[in-house]
This record gives sequence, C-alpha cells and structure tokens, in this order.
Amino acid sequence: MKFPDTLVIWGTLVLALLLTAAHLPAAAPEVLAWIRPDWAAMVLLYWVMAVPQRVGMVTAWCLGVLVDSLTGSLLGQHALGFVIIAFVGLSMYERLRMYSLLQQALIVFFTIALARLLGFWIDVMVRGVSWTPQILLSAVTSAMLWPFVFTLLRALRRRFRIA
Amino acid sequence: MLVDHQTRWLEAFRSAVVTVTAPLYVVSNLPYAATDSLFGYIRLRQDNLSLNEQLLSLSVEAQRAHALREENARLRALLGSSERVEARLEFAEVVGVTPDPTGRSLILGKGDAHGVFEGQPVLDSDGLMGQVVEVGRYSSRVLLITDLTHVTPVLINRNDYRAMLYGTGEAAWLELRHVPETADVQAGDLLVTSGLDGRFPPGYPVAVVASVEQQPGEPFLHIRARPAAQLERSRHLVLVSRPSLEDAIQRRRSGDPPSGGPDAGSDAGWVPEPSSDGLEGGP
Repeated sequence: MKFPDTLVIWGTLVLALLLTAAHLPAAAPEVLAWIRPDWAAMVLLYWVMAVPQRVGMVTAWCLGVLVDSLTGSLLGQHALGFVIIAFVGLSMYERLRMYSLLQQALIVFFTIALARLLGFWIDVMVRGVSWTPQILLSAVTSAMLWPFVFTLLRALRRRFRIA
Repeated sequence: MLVDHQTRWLEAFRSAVVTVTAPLYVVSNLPYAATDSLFGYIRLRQDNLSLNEQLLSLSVEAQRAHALREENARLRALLGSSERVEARLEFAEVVGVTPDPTGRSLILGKGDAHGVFEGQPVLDSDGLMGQVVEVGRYSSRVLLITDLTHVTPVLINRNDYRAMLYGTGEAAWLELRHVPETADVQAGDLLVTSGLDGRFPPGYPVAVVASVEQQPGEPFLHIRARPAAQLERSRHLVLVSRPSLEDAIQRRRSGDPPSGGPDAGSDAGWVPEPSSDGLEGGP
C-alpha cells in the first residue's frame, strides 16, 4: 500500500511539532531549554531540499503559524523565519544535495541562526528581551543533529518513494 | 505581525489555530501522564495519608476562619465599608509548557468550553501564578508573573505600601521597581495582590522580598523578590473568577436580588453557577 506523499510529509512535520511542544521535567536544568534543537525547521529544510516542487514557502508559512500558536509568540514570527529557511532551501537545493553532510550541517546552522536572530529581533522590539548569545545554541545543536535527521528522513523518503 | 501586536483583529484566528495545536500539547504530555499512572498507586497511598493530615489541620483552621469571617463582616458593616466579593474557583491541569526559554508560559487543559476567559487570574496552592492570555476551545495559555511583559500591582502585607512587581524573564526572580529609598521595605516582606487593577482579586500572596539593595546615585531601591507560587512545579492550578465590581454595583442599582442588608457578609446577589468541579470559596 502506498501512502499519499503529502500525508507522510505532514506526518513528519507534525512529529517535529510534537517534539517542539514536549516539555522538560521541572527538575531539568535551564540550559536544556536553550539547547533544544529546532526540529520543525530541520524537517522543513530537509523536505524543501529533497522535494522542492512539493514543499515550499506556503508549507513553511503554515508550519510557522502552527509553531507560533504552540509557543505563544506573535502570529507570523516563526512563520517569517520558516519562510526565510524555505527560501534559502529553495534557492540552493541543487547545491545542497551535492554537499557532504558536514557542509549541509554548516548551512543548517547559518539558516537556523538567521531565522533565530530575526525572531529575536522581533522579540526585542515587542517584549524587550535582552541579548544573550544563548539564543544561537539551538542552531548549534540543530546542526549537530542534522546528519541523523537527514539520514532518517532520507530512509523514510526512499521507503515511501516520495519524489 | 504588526496587526497581531497592535490590534485584536486576529483574536478569532488565533483561538482557532490554538484549538488545532493544543492537542499536540496533550499528546506530548503523555509520557508524564504515563509515568504518573505507573507509579501512581505507590504514591497514592502516601499522598492519601499526608492529604488526610492536611485536611484535618485545614478544617481546624477553617473553623476559626468561619468565626473570623463573621466578625470581619460585622466590623465592615460597622465601618460602612464595601463588602468583599466571593470568588468562584475552577480547577485545571497544566498540560504543557511553551519551549521558549525567554518567555515561558503554561498551557492549561481547560478553555472556552469550561468558562475560562482572557485575563482570568491563575493561582496554585501557594500564590499567584499569572493570568490567562489566550483561550482556545479546550485549552488556554497562561502568562506567568515572571514574564518580561507582566506587571502585578501589589501591596506589602505588613504596611499596605503599594508597588508594582515586574517580571524579569527569569524563572526565580521578580523585581519591585520605582520604590523610593525612604520606603519601608525589608527582606522577608510578603507581597500580596492589591486588587487595584480590577483584574487580580486582592489579598493573594504573590512573592516574598528576597533582597533590598541601595545603590548610590540611583533614585530607587533595587528590590528582588521570589515568587510565592511554585511556578516551575505546580501541575494543578486554580482559575479564579468573580463578578466584577461594576456588575455588583449594577445589580444593586437595579435591585433585582435583595441585597440583604449590611450584614449579609459576602456578596449576597451573586450565586455561583453549579459546576461539576467548580467550588465556591473565599480567598
């Protein structure tokens, strides 16, 4: 039996949203909250890179609005970041596919860091959050986990023959 | 984003999206729920014992409180001052915590369908937690008093000194700002809600002053306080609602329920709605 491709893609995106929503036990140290990888952005970037004709800016925006609602941020704050991630993915997906996993991880770091900084900039204007370099930690962990996410999602894509 | 920040046009859209995304929190909470039910029976016995003891000591206190309440009502009647309004309580469980470390907020498992409204005060057993800022159909989001954007009007319980308590964005700290050097504030002072905002009911504990520092050259004291509520730990919270003062005044003017004279104690015109898990009780 073959699943509809859209179902598989959105299934992984919803899984990423679940990981975003999951909260840590109360006893966990605070640094763990900072180093949480940006699961939704990673999964999104993978699909944009792998099937750019299916997953693009619109999917990115919808996913972003869902994340906004989950985190209680301003509607559109994550959506903007995700659209930028999708834009980077769309404009260089051919090169990204040729890159080694390490090079890809570097690109993941830069795009997620860019989206984060933008979101942080909005936070500064709206809520008066003050700067800490910790906001970039999640981009670092995302880049470190990228090889695993990539191999997992590629196996999934091949298993369901999504192209 | 500008529209969302400056206006309330997107409110309906927001609560619709929240109704869709809230189940994600319920699902992500399942591991905790599962461990709770696995180890539940062992803990249940211990809880039962300690809760029984607590119940006993609290009911002894309640006996005294009853007499005090009567006395308070009589004295208030003598003074001719306004009556206290009773609050209605609704219980809710925390199903999620938003992941953003700079502005953590809680997701409650009750929403519009249970009568939760925006701006509703949220308490735990130790003190004020925050207020509801977003209501979905079956969930709601609570902004904590420690959030950067949250300010709570408080009184120092000892001397009724009024001040504003600012959230710092850090989980363990609040700041009492714009307090002049001459003010009488000491470490250990209990800060309670003043109720002057018309949103939080007066008299609930909010924080305890931890340190008072005077920095030379600065016009105000630097005062830090620790929240009284277990902001990071509490799972079972209480939502408080009470008829606003305006409602009470209007009812008295129209005179539909008899006001019952000055010694009616608590607000006589207001009858709590029967609710399966709502309780009637004063602060």
